[in-house]
Amino acid sequence: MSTVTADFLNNTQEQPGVRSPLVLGRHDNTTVTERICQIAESPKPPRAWYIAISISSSFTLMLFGLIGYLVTTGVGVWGNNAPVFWAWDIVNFVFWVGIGHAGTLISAILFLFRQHWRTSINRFAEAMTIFAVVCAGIFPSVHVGRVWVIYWLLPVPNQNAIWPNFRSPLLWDVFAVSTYATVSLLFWYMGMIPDIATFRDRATSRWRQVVYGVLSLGWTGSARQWHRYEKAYLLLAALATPLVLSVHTVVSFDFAVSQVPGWHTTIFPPYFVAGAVFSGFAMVVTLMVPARAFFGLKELVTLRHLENMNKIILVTGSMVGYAYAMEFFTAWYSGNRYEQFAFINRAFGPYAWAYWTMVTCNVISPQLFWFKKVRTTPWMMVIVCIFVNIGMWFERFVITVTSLSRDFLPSSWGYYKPTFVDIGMFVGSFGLFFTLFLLFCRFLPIVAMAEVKSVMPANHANEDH
Amino acid sequence: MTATIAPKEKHHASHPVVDESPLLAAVIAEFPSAGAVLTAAKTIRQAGWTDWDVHSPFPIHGIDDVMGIRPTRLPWITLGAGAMGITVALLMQWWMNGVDYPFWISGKPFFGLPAAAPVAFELMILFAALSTIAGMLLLNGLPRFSNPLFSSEGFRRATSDRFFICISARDPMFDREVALKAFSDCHATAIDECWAPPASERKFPKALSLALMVLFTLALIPPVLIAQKRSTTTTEPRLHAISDMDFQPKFKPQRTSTLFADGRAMRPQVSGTVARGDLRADSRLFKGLEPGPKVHRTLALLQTAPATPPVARLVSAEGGPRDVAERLVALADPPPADPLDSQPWVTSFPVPVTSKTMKRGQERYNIYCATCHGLAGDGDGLVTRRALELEQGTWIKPTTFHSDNLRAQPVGRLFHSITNGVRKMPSYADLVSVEDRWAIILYVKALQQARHADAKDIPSDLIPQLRDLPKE
Repeated sequence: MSTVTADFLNNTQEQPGVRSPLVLGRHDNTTVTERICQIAESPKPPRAWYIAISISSSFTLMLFGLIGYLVTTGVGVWGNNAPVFWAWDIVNFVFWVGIGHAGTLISAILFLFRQHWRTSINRFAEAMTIFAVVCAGIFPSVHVGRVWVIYWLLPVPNQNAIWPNFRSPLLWDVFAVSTYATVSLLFWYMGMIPDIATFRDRATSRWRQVVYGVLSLGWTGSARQWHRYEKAYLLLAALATPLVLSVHTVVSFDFAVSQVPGWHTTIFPPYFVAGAVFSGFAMVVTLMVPARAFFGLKELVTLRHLENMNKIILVTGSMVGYAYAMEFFTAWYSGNRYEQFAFINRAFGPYAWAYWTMVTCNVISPQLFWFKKVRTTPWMMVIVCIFVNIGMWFERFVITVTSLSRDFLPSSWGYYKPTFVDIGMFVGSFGLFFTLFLLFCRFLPIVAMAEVKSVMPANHANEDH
Repeated sequence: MTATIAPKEKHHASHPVVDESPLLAAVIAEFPSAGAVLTAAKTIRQAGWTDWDVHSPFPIHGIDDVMGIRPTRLPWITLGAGAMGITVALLMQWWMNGVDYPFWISGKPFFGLPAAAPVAFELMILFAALSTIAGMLLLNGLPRFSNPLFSSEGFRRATSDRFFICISARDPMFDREVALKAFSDCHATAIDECWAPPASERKFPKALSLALMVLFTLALIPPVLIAQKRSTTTTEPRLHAISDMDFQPKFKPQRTSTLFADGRAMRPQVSGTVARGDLRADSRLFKGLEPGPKVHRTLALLQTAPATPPVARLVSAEGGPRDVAERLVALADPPPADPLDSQPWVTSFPVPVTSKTMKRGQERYNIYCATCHGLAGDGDGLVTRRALELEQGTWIKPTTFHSDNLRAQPVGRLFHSITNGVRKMPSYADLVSVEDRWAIILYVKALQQARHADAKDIPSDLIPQLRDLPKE
């Protein structure tokens, strides 16, 4: 006990009857504002930021170069071919959409459950949601092949005088993902308005005044504004909660509504949602640990925050492991030989390497979070979380590719291999993600200042309740 | 009630409106903590002020009760928008897939609630979320970029770490001195005045309005051009910005290719193979012949030999159509014994003879055959009559079905004629399916029989109907 309490940054012990503080150190409204604003206000970002963004933006350039190559040449530049017509494009799409779910979960579901510890990480996680959805949206958009007629997916009049087919889960997906992107973006922006107003009021240069002035829409923080703002925030949280559950449910319908063995199962929606939260939290931890060290946020994003997220990873990881087991049980119990073959083929067929990578990363590695030491040591949790992210990518690969490569007609069986375009676009999507993220860290409030202030004990001193 | 602060003239009663001087919009007081501002707010409210507000860097717990802020009607906006989202989504899906462009997909109903639910759900969320945010901003009077409060240097900390109470000059009991006194009684740490710029400076910037007008005009150009193109016609081929799959690196029929030794792009059938569905082992059904290997070979030879002299050459020669016809007759050798006469044609139908087949045959006959052969099979169809009227020399009048020769022909031979053509008549194999050909033959047989029938061939209960037929 004594060794741990000596480190004032460690707030992970449970003391009966005492609530662990959400903000450590001698922080008040002034220092919180200073600490967060200085990240965006320092005249020059640190050298590491320049190095990081030059690397990530060159990967982004590669991504757009490859998209240009794909659009001008055709989707044949990918490794997708009969019988595996869905491969890395869909895998990457589901992977990135899943990553995004943690942000909405933290900002909406934890808000509804009055989990105040979310306040210092929610902005960060919401930004991650937006950028992950941007990366996700690229893959299905270019995989349609003729991107210039992609508006055929929307219910707008077109030259063929026909309407989209609303009975297809792929169209539901268009609506679900675009609604999700729109609502997440607005939710994120609305949450930032008071903090951007802080930036505006602290701005020293004219261009910062104008840009942040326009973005903050003239916010003055009046009690009447706050009243409606808080109500709107609550309503949006209540809307975003079923939305986030519906998005990955609809994504899973892309698979589950088809007849392909290994896809046609009712367990998919809950299993996909759990996997999405699992991978999303792992990504938040992976990014948060270096960011809090880098930007000096250890007192706001405390070890307890990280530990709480690791606990959620442990829970959702166990749910995912249970789903894997249940899939096998269902295949056996169904008595359907095609279903049984699909799962035996997954575990022991030509893609067994991918399957066991997935099981190792997703089922075994999060179990390390039963140990408090692993849960509260930043470098250890980052390693586990990176494994989780690898595992979750492989989960989508295993679901998509193994089922398609060996379906009902053995004469058409094949083995999928990616091309350099597949690999380059996946790597490039990480470049885009990190580029957007670094820009966010440099120019926008990365911690919700107003929300953190509202949970600080000093601001509740004179209340009657 | 929003937090907007409108300027009020300094001495409104005693002086005429002076546009050029700044106007006092509000007085503000600064407080160091949420607790202090909450206490002060109670005092201000008790003093009877009505147009005032509290500004804080975060929402202060309990401030609504202290200030008497009534619950916002925002949730009703959200509810209404959500209901509208569901309605719009269901109507859209029903109309687009069920009414305007219905098409079958995997046997699903054109419109059904289970398949419509996901889109209805998503649009409900989308509509509700957009209206919630828009409603929040509008009710709050945002965006509002010009606010007299921003004229106070100290007020800038209202979004960081200070708490303010502002009394608007629009308050009916507003008086500068009274307001300042009220603030100092609340132990405000600082007091400031917010001035609105004079009316002359509050105009919309000229450069900005000019730029907006130019932008608006430029934005009109594309839709106008599109509308112009859509409403006019042109003889030029339409502009095709993206060629899609119009030009593909592929071989078209009858082209040469260096890929194969024979130089042909079209590939002949691999010998010894039969395409799927092309086996046609049932000789009676597909050839109209009793089974037997020898017969097939003979017929195959027959089909490759030229059946008639090359007519085209004759047509190009001098003389009218009549001459041609005469020369055709002159050229022809004395007719040899027709090898078709000695084939083992089937004499019974290889398909079920039912009234359904007969109906089908009648329908197909009237579509494909009657134009030349006539509705009754006399060889006097409309095309034939027209050709004879025009004295078309190359036209050969179809033989009437009611000649003894044709009446005696076995059904297999008729099948052969439809399938492979006879004299000028081309093959109808591509147009009429095998079953339909047999149905047509059945109908032709019925036509032949009807021509030579009398009352005793008709079932007695149908005879009365005959009398009712109109007499010609």
